Amino acid sequence: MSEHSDDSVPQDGAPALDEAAKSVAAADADTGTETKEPPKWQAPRSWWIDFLVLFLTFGAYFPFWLYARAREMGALGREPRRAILWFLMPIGGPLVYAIAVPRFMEPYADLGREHGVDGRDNVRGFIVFWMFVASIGAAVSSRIELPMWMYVAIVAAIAAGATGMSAVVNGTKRALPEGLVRWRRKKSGLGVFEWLTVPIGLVFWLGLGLAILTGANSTPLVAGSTYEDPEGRFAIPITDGNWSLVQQGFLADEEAEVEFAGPALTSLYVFDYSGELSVDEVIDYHVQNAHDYALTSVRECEETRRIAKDEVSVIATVVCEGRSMGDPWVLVASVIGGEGQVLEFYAETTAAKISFPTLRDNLVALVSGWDRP
Amino acid sequence: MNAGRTMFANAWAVGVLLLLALTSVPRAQDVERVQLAQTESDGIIREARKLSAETAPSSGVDQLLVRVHYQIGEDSVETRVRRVVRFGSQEAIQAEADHSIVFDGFSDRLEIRQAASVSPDGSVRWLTEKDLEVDDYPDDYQVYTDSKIVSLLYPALQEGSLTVIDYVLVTDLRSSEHLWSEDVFLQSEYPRHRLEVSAAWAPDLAVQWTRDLPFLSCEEGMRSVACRGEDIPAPVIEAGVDWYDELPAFVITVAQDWSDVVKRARDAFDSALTQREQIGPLARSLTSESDGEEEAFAALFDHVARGVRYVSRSTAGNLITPHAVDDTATSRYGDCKDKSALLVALLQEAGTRAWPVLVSTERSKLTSAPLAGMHYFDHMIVCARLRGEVRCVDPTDAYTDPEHLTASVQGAMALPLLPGAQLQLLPASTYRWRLEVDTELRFDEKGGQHERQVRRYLGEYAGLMRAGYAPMDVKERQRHAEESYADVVSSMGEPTFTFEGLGDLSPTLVVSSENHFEELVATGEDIFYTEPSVWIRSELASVYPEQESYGTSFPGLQVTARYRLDYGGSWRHRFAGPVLDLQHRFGSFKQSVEQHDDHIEFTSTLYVPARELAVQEMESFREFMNLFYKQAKLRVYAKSRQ
Repeated sequence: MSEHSDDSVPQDGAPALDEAAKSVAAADADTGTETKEPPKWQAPRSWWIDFLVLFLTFGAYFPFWLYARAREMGALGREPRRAILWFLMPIGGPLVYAIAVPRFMEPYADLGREHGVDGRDNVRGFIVFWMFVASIGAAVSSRIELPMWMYVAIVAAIAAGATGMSAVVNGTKRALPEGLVRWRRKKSGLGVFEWLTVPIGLVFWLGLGLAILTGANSTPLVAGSTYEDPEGRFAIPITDGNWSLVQQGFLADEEAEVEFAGPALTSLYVFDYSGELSVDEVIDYHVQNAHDYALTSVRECEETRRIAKDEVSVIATVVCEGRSMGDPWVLVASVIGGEGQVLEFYAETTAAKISFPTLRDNLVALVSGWDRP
Repeated sequence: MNAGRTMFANAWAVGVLLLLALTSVPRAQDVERVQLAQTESDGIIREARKLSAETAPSSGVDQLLVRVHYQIGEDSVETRVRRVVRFGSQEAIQAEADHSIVFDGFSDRLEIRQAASVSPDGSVRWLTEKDLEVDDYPDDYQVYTDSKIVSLLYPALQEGSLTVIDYVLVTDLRSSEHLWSEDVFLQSEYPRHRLEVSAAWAPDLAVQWTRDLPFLSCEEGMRSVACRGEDIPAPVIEAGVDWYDELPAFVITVAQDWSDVVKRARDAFDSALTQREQIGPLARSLTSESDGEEEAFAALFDHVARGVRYVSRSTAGNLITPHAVDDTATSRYGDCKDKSALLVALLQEAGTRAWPVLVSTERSKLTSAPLAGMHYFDHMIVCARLRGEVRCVDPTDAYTDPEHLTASVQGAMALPLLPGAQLQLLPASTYRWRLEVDTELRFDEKGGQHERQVRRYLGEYAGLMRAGYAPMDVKERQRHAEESYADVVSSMGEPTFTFEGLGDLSPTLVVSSENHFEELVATGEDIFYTEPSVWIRSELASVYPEQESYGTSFPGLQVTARYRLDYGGSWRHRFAGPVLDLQHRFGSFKQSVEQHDDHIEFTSTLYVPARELAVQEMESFREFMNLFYKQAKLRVYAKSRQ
């Protein structure tokens, strides 16, 4: 049993809010100033709404929720005050979670105790532990590419943990005395900024759905086999077992001659630029675009060339590496040119840090390894 | 084409090959060695008309008849030639009507028995003395021979006219140094409707002649042979073809094998070594400061190649026989055989085994000499055994270092004058043309560029370039260097040139240049441009084989180009490429790139080794050359710092 029992906290802890409110009101009266309105808080709502929003937004709602609660608590003059730091908290690692989650929940527990609500120490402890474990999963997923179901499981775990945090917060809110805060909106309503998370969630789910559909409609390519172009223009040796052939015309770029799929939602395309672009023009386009593309920060592009099997074509491969939205990123474009024919095999991908080198090496080996039949 | 190498190569060909080819022709005693008998017999006219009637007319030149008969005796050879030609157009007359006969004014006697032009209406104009021009064969600078030329100026030719000639050339074998042999090429640049080659020889002679030739069918007698061919097409005419290698020839010779040729030539050569009192002291003087055999070889070669000027006195008695080595050492002039004799004598004196080698500068296929003969050879060089290896040098080449054989004779057909020697090809470098180029470009604050370039020509390439540049005065050299630079690099700016290694036989010739280009790019704009690797492209273009219907010998090309571009603080580097790893069965082309924030460095290495290219390989070789040519480029992307 903690020495900070529910009964003992109000006497020695921070001044009780209702008393503080009264003293503030009295001070206002003494000075002849207008009495301040109680701060506005989001009305408490059902846990399942929080879970649904958290899960459907792939956890993107979580920082917004933290930000909003931190501002609410700050409005009462309690920690945590710096709401923006709480907004950024979810991108921290397990250590951050281990420190931040109990610190975030502590004021609510204190507030509850002040108003005769059980501090729910055991529940809080479990939630802290749960979020710590879930954050380990998230940390792993940010460094290592995991199977899709594991991603979903980790998102669900964080959503569940955050839902637990929300349930505790909402429990405290319900126990607060009338007049301490004013309730804003309906109990189940979302704030404007919270609605912003919905399109983000939709993008995530759309990507997941496309990946699932693509995977379902693709044929695994066997390592050691060779994909032969039906028109005999090129051949792609399959260097490892990570790739699959996506059916032409389904979820693929209609302009592409063929589409492959790979780990980390990687898509690879072969395009025919014969009569439109030269080898140099295709390479220059990628080099210039990679350097000037706002979402990437290119460290280096390197172009290598070799002679194709037909001895009259050259195969030019450019590899650009850098970062895209914080993650390592690579672009590989290989162009076979000669005899008036220009074909491009193109892919770009970004992946978790630890998995990236292997994915990059495999991608470069596959894309740059193609040749004439 | 690489302008420098082309010009120098042409000069070399004229300066050496042509001169040396003429060493086989003796001095004329007087013009009475030419007689115009002009029997005005109707026989040849009737034959000409009959042949013309049998042959479909064309708008070009038709060789209706070429008949060659050799009557070979012990002391003389009588060569009788009858030739009937029809001209189908005025253009054909303008180009080919006049006929010339080159002969040896000392050992040959020419009798023109009949010569006439026949008009389409049948009228005959017999040539008279005033229709002949007899002159010394135009010897080149510093070359003196007995060669004569007779030109027959056929009168009254018009479209459809015929020219006929019947002549006899009598060669006195007693006054000739040669071991007699001849060849008749079966094809000429015009269609031959009938070719007859025959020979008869004296009972005591053993004569060899080529069998199993295309176009000809032969009947062999006890001491005779008669061959005949009809409707022999003209070969496909292309530039750069070694015709002596490509065209089939009827060869007839009194040599039984190559040892006969070796013996005759070696005896003549050795006769020049008998007077050698000055050789010992001269050799000791020249090698007094040499350390070892290699240095001694270089010193002796330097003396003969550079210290003895080229003068050919190839008149009677010295057709294949060098002048006495003492005379050459004293006069300090001589031709290939004189210089070879002097060098062999000096090397022998220095303790180095050396021997002369006959060279056929026009042939590089052993199949072009199916039978032993002397007539193939027009040049002589020296080979020696140094440190266990055979080293061959051309003592008439005053510009190539002693470790490399002159480019123009590499791979040529040769016969070492050693007992038991067989016909062979001279050694050829794997990479005959070797060039290193360092280029440094630095942007100035206005977007102009300052360029420093250093070209290093190596080995035999240095020799060829030295042969071109060394004889020039300073102004001419600067002008030529500017022209070459403008052809390859740029015509902008005012480049200045300096040369290293012109006045010696070092294995490297260095041509350095500096140039400034005004405001090529605006400093406020990004750079994204492609620049050709100009020297690699230039060298590739200079050895591009154009032949469609014939194979060729590719001489081997090695180019290393280093290129440094300094942004001069005005741009920040982004991208440079490509890195090349082009591996092909015909050669390789690699290019690496070092990228820094303020400068970039490219290093490009091209290797295309020497090889014999069959006609079936020519197309794929050209595709290979085109591929490498296109990939010889540098691409740069840099962002302006402004």
